[in-house]
Amino acid sequence: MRVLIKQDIKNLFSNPVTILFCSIYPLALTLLFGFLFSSQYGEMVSSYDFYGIAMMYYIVLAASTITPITFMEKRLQKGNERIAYAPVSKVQIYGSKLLATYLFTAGFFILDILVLQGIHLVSFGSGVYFWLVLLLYLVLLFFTISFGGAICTIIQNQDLTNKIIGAVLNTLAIFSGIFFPISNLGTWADSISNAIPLKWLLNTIFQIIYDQSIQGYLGIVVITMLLGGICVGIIHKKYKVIS
Amino acid sequence: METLLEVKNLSKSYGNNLAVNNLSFDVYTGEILGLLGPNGAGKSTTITILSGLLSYNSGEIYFLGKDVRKNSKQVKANLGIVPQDIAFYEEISAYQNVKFFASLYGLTGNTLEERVKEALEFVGLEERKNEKPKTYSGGMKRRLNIACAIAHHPKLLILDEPTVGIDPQSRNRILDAIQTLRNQGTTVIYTTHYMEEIEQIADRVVIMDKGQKIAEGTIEELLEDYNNINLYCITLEKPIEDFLYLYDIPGVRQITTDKVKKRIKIETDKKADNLNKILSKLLEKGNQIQDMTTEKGNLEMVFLDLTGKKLRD
Ligand SMILES: Nc1ncnc2c1ncn2[C@@H]1O[C@H](COP(=O)(O)OP(=O)(O)O)[C@@H](O)[C@H]1O
Ligand SMILES: [Mg+2]
Repeated sequence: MRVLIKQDIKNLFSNPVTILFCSIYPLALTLLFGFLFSSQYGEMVSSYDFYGIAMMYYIVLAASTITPITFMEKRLQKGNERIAYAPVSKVQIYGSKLLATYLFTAGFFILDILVLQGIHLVSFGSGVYFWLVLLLYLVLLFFTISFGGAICTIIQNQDLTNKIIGAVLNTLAIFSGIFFPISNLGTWADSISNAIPLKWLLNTIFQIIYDQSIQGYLGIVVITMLLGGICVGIIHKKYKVIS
Repeated sequence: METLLEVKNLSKSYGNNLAVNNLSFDVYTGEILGLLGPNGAGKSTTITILSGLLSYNSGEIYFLGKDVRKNSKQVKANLGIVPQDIAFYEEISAYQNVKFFASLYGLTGNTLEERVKEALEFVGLEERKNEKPKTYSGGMKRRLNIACAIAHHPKLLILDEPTVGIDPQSRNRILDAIQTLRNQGTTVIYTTHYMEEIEQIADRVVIMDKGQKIAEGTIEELLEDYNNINLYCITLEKPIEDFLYLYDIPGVRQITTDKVKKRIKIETDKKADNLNKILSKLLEKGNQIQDMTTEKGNLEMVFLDLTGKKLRD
């Protein structure tokens, strides 16, 4: 199993797009949006604070497009097939891919957060609240990684899966006001934004940081883990090594 | 003779298409079994089932007497698979590839290193082992595909058309290597649609068509009926319109022509000793002979006789 995980991680590192996506991209998004909307935010909470948290949140959601790459990127497909000839079980094969994807993305995201926090550009909370926020990101990441895997094992096509996930995610993200304040557009936009569940979780993160409120924290963690677990179940049922 | 693998009444369909139809054959320890058949015969489907990656509708498969469905891990540990489509990672070195796949069979440390080296030397890639396979020629990729399947010393090596689309040198190298492995004790299933390769290396042959076994035996056994036959291939200057008169010559059994009717093949009894008669008859009818060869019985003829078509078009 360790050999498998190591190889899957190596494969992830052999894709420059994936590396850039997980390392530089969240930082660049934070700087870009933070700069563009700096006038709309005050002293206490800067635009960088908001976008740092929002963009890390967005990138954790978007990490669901990495699993389809680990699972069925064309470049890797043939090598992946050969693994199945060896005396390893299906669980070991998809399990190592899930774990590798998780470790790879989590590693970069933790680094991103530490950098943003370390240079005092973004505050992800202080003291124990910082760790709670970090943990929430990581729990959510478990869900998104498994979700991406589940969708691609159902659709059986990496390109299509990522197009669908990308389109849905970006639409939801825009309408929930992650990228820019959508309430300027009117009350209708505001109510749409509030109806989209993406917003709720982001608000929870803000509440932890600024109100130091951990109301509902445990519930969210448990539900997210549960949903992730269901996705793993789907993968277990649907995962096929040969297409 | 010990039976290593036993396939009994195996059937597999894709929708309405019966890709493997009630197929049975045995593989004996230490032999090279050639699995010969045209494209679409069901060879790869059979191989993929044997490798444990594809489910089947009915039938049984036993490896050393054990049901493979119930002992999948144990069986897989003893198999080496060389799939028809090249299967390894293009972006890590050949060495890394062989090492990774061998390590999945539980090899570690020095043994692992030695086996990887041995496999790469065996297929002649030792010198370029640190390069990424995406820089390799077709023949080298085929050889790496084999190296990835042998480093763990499988009891049974299964190769699916391992020489498709490569130069004759690489092909011979591969065929030699497979024979060497057999001589060292590895049992081999060798799948191809090239009958020349089967004649060159197989100890026994199973011929497949449309998912079914249509013949089985050693090459001598399969060619037994052809020992008494001569096949004259005659090339003419101009197309021949009528050749039915040749059937009047004693011993002539069957005559076929190519599409432009400039090459005719005449199957005759060896004993009839009728070449002179055939040639003079052709000349007498105003044909000009350009070239002539005599073919001995081969698997192509066996296949043609059994199915009425050629192995390759
Ligand atoms: N994945 C598949 N889905 C549907 N039909 C298939 C599939 N693979 C093979 N077939 C069909 O099964 C038959 C046997 O194919 P195959 O085993 O590849 O033959 P061979 O290897 O002898 O060329 C063919 O008719 C082919 O079209
Ligand atoms: Mg085939």
